[in-house]
Amino acid sequence: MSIFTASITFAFVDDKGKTSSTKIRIPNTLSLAAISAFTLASAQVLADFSACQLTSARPCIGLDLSSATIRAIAGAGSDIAEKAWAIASTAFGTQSKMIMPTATDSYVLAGTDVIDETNLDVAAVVAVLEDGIVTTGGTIAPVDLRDNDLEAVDSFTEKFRKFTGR
Amino acid sequence: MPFEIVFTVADDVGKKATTSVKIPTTFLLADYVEFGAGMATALNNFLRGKILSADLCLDVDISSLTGNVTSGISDVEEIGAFEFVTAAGNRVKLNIPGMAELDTITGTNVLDETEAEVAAVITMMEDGIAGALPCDVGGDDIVDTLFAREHFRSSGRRR
Repeated sequence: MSIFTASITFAFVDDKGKTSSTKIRIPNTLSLAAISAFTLASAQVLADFSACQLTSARPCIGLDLSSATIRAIAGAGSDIAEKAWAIASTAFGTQSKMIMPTATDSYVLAGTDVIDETNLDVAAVVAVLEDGIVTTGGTIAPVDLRDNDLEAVDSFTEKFRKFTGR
Repeated sequence: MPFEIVFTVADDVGKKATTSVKIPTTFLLADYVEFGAGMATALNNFLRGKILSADLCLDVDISSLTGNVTSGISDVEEIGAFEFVTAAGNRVKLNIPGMAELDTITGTNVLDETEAEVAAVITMMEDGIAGALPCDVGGDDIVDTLFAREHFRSSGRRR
């Protein structure tokens, strides 16, 4: 797997309240600052062209996962409707959740919907959420919407959700 | 606003779903690649599905845009439909919602490339802007415009 492109999604709203979007791709060999600069400049061009209002400009950059260990095919019986819900809190008491599809039944404690955090695979996910991952530039640790560090996973449970995809 | 890494996961019947984690904005892209790979491995070991991709997403502040308001007759179903071609001959579409009818050549559905707003879009896609050149999904540079037309399409809004 290699790094592909940065895909920038521009969202619009018209005066009736209807929404739509369009997308432009650029190489992701650029720095994040350069991608942001392109996004802002192209947003102005699109805003000038369109009679709608531009409501957001969101670049998404495909990350190279070639150094990750990823199974070649999905496990038998895996289902995206089977979720693992991790709720973590910050030092300020605010909470953030991560909902992970294709959870594994075998990690759930018998007679409960609680995921067993003593299991090594579960503990590894908890450790990432609480402590982050050490990278060349320093430790990147997950945060909440307001950029506050997640300090503790408060609950980790299995939940089933209806699949609404097409 | 923090950045977000979105992981796409597929199950064994091919259905897809995403999960995401928010992270600080102060690192280099190479660091986010390391984080993404590390977290993908942790998710792979924990989940039963296949990790298909990881995308680093950021929200760019567009509050400085000028003239970014809806006009009284704006409609997202009225589209400026552009089609470009890359150096390798691949076609790339750009459909911009809410085009103004004044940008078409009278009696046709062809966009008037002498109009400043139309010309600016074409210049941006062919020559780039702010130091970046638009490309196709494989990263091939856009080099020319095949057509620019007015087009109408249902927004698919559900009632």
